[in-house]
Amino acid sequence: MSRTQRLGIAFSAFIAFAVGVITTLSLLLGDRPELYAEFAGAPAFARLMSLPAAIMVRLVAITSAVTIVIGISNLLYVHLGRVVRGAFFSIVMIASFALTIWWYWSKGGDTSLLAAVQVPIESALAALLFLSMVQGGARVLNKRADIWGLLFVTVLVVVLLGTVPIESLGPVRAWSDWLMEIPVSAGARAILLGIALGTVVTGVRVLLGQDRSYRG
Amino acid sequence: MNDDDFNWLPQEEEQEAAQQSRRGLFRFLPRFRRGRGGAAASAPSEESSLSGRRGLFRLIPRFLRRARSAPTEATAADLALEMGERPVEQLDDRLLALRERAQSRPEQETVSPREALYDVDDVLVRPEIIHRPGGVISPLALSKAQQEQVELLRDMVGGTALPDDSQSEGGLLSRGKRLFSLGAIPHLLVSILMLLALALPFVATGFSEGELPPLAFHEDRHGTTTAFNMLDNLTLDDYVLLAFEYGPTAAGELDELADVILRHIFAQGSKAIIVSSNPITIVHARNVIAAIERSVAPVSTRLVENQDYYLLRFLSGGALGLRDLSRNFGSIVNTSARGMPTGLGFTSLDEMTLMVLIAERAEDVRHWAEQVATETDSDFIAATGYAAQPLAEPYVYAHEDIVGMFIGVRDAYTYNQILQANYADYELPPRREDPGTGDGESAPTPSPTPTATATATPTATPTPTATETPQPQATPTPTATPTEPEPELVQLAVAPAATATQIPSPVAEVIAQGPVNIRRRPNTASDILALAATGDIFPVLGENGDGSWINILLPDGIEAWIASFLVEQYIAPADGTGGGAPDGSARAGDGQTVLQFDFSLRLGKTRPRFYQANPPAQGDRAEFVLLRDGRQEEQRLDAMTLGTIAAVLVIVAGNVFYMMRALTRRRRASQGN
Amino acid sequence: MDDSTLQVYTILFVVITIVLVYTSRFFSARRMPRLSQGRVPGFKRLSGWVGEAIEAGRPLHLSFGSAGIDAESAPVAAAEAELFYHVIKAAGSGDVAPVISTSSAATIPLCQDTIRRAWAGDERRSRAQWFPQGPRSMAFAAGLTATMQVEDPSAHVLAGSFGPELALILDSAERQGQGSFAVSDQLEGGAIAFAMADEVLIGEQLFSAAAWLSHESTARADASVQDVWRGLLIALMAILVIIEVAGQLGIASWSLVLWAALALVVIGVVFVRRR
Repeated sequence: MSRTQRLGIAFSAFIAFAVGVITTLSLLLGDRPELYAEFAGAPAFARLMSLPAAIMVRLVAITSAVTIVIGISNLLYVHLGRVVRGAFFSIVMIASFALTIWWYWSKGGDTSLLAAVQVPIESALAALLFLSMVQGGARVLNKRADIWGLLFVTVLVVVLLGTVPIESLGPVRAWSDWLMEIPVSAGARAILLGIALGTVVTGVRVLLGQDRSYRG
Repeated sequence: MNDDDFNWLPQEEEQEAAQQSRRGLFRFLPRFRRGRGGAAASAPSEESSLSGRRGLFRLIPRFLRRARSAPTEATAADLALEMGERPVEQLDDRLLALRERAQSRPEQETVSPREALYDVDDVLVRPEIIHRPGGVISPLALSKAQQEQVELLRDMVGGTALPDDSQSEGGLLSRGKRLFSLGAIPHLLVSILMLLALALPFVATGFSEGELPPLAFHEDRHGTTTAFNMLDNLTLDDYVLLAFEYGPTAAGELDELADVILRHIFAQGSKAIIVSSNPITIVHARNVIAAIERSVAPVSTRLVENQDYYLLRFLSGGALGLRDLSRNFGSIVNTSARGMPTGLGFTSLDEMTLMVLIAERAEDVRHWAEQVATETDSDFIAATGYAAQPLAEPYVYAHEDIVGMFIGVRDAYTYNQILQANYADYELPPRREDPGTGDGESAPTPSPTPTATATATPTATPTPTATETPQPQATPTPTATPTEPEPELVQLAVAPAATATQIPSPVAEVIAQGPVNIRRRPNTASDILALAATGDIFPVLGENGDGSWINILLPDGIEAWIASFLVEQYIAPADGTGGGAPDGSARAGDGQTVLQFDFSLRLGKTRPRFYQANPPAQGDRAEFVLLRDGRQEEQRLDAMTLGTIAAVLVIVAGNVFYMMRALTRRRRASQGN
Repeated sequence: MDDSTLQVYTILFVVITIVLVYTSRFFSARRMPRLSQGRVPGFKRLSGWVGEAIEAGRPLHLSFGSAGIDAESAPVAAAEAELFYHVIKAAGSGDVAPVISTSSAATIPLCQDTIRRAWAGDERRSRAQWFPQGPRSMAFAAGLTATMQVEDPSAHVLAGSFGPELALILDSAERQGQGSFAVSDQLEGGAIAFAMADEVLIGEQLFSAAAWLSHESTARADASVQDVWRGLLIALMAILVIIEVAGQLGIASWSLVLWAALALVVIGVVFVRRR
């Protein structure tokens, strides 16, 4: 690695670190005059503190909107490459892409294609998803023939039956409610807490410039 | 699994790992003693010796260490020397384990080359090909490419074609060779069963399983009653921020909810400001509104964008975009989805009367709850589908600002039933000659044959309380006859319906030196609606998040806010004095009470919220409610029930089968041993 | 808890995490925390798939799902990029470059970057693929299954942010006999992964997956910080529950809390030693 490259990496890591720290501090300390209660210019100072975060958040929102361009160019690049190799569905993809754009421009912003094409297709996909999930649910014990698999299936069946609006299933509904409210909700919160912890630790890692992207 | 089974060790990190895994007492010896002389000591680069050894250097971020060090390249010979000459105790953990395992194995007898090549011989004669889904690590599994290579080999040695896959064990899924295989049959059967279950209620009668949803929200676990009543309390000048966070995928499930909520908002004459963090859902929202428009076109004027409803530009950046919305609402609300100015002069989310989120994912509920609901004082209502419900519930319960949640098509059905009942006595405006022009909205000509298509008129009220409240007259047509069921129907929306004479009601008495300000919103920046004098008493509807503002009901039925330190709250005696005012509201002053309110029985919430359903008023655009087609709602609900039952059957049957199979295999294996 | 108290706690939390990260790295320089792959059987299968991919000349398919570096799932994307780096490195001697897919346009550069770093061969640019995303990424799942018919990967490593659409991908993989390794930061995706994937990680394992495959001491040190925080949280919650129960029984006292804390520490130490 050349010296210039190393400098570049160090510089980008420094920028990431500085922006990360400033935004975090600004988010935590900005816009809270009560944090500086003893100080006469507290409200103005609080507003000032919140400024970097506000700018960065807006910047990210705008940048993220622009990334759609990267996405579309990637999509076209990948599929045009396949069209050259004669992939039929890539031809369909490119043709649909062109048709949709042409339709929108020529019909003065008409969005009926969404209702006529996209909604039925995605609804069909959702139905397919339902079938896939049922098939997957039926095979849980094929993959995990242990106590956890059995527990999973039992809870799944009880909760599903709990949603069936038949009077005789009243007791099942009560179990289902209990399951959802106590054990399932506890488990879900535990998993979310774990993910939140992981997010913070990884965030700190990125903040300290230890992420691989900054290491060349 | 032992570490030695799998070597993930990338070469570039080998030195560091090798250095750091020295074992036993050697760990405590200084570095220069531990090395095996020149070669081993000089092999690691300067960078790794810095990073690996000296504690303080660990505190310097790695990139800086990299930047300052001039790495010397380690040659392969150096590495080989180091690895070969290291004492046993300095070996890497995994190498050590491997070594121990190798030593613990019994001596193997030598085999003849013929025996050793037995398998190869077999492959050349008759390759045994086993395809097992997911079983690619099985030593006998051959990939497509390997198969081709075997075939090539067979050609070279002059063998015959490969045996048919179906003859070999488990060869059911041979990709690209068969159009149809036996392994797909269970898949196919399950799919057919599910499709039958889902389609039956639509094509045949007599398959209606299960109960229809109730005609009113009475179980108040999700605060549905409160949520409905808040929407029902919207008036002409109110703006509702409607977050559309579902796309075409969930259209089948959530379009119904969006449809009834939008119709309700339009019927009340309020304005919807639609916003989303996904561009496609904005377009979808436009289509939903267009469908509503088409349904009311025969009698109503078109809904005008930027007048009746507003479609804002989409919020990019996911949760960050939502944060941006809560902080910079003023600038975001100025731009429409088409990039044009909206003319809305709002500066803060607090100016929204209500916020409604319709989301298909629990993630979206969380994002809105965390990034938006907590940043504003406006009340918030969520609506989701069944899939998101269990995971969205905790957020709804955890956030004080989220007052209620509607779920899926069942709640949409109930919602619609209440609306239809509320507006049942309305007569529609006459059919317009020329739909699309003119303003035929409020033509008061009597129409003898209302085209209302209320799908089901409730025949029983689930809440068996009756009020003595005089009938609020609210029909806009001169020929309309006042009818009786209105108060009851209004009460459908109120769960533990309570009448003024039965329940003591909380009131707030102004104790500060008057006049004090009564404001539209719970902050000092909002409009002053009225001035109150010392001793004035108002019914209390609730309070804001930190209790600093009290939500009160003014004598003319308008909700307002007063700072809590200005008043004293107490429970008015339940002596029935006063009773409900004729206009459906309570009257302040002596002996007033709230007409009706509900204690929201929401999990973990002790502070009750009070809202009352609002009878339809003059100026309501009833056609939005009445001209709603049934959309085969009951068949859909039946299909859902049947589908769920079929899914349970398939899941139980499949798992029982696999469990039996696993048990049988286990038994066989234990017998084999 | 009012807002400013919350802010203070948040700052404290972040600062303590930074301190813990550096402390653990300091100690890890002397003694690498042991993370045994044995606790996660998924990696054994994964190694088989990697080997199969190399032998058969088929690619691996890795997917970020909708984890985007422009959204709050950015740490997820960063952690998974690290995991993918190690997986691709391991598959480095193969002939066909792996495919990385994402439904977040902002993550495309990260995909390309990961391939560029980890993969030495050619054919790198077209291996990062984006599929447009709806709120439920259904188009992503459908596009992916179609593409995978063309690419015919030996296995899927689906690590990132997935919702219920994961079922479509996993069902397709199952039918094509491709292995699947899945983990998601969304609960729905996690549940589907558990039911349908060949191998699965749950919850915060998402963030430590790379540490299991990596021999960098820093990665392992970071993973151990996560363990420390988790232990602290569990202890804190346990103590709060004890106080609450004791309060309801009317036997709450400081000595009880101290004894409970001591007992928890002992249990924790025994538990850690046994592992």
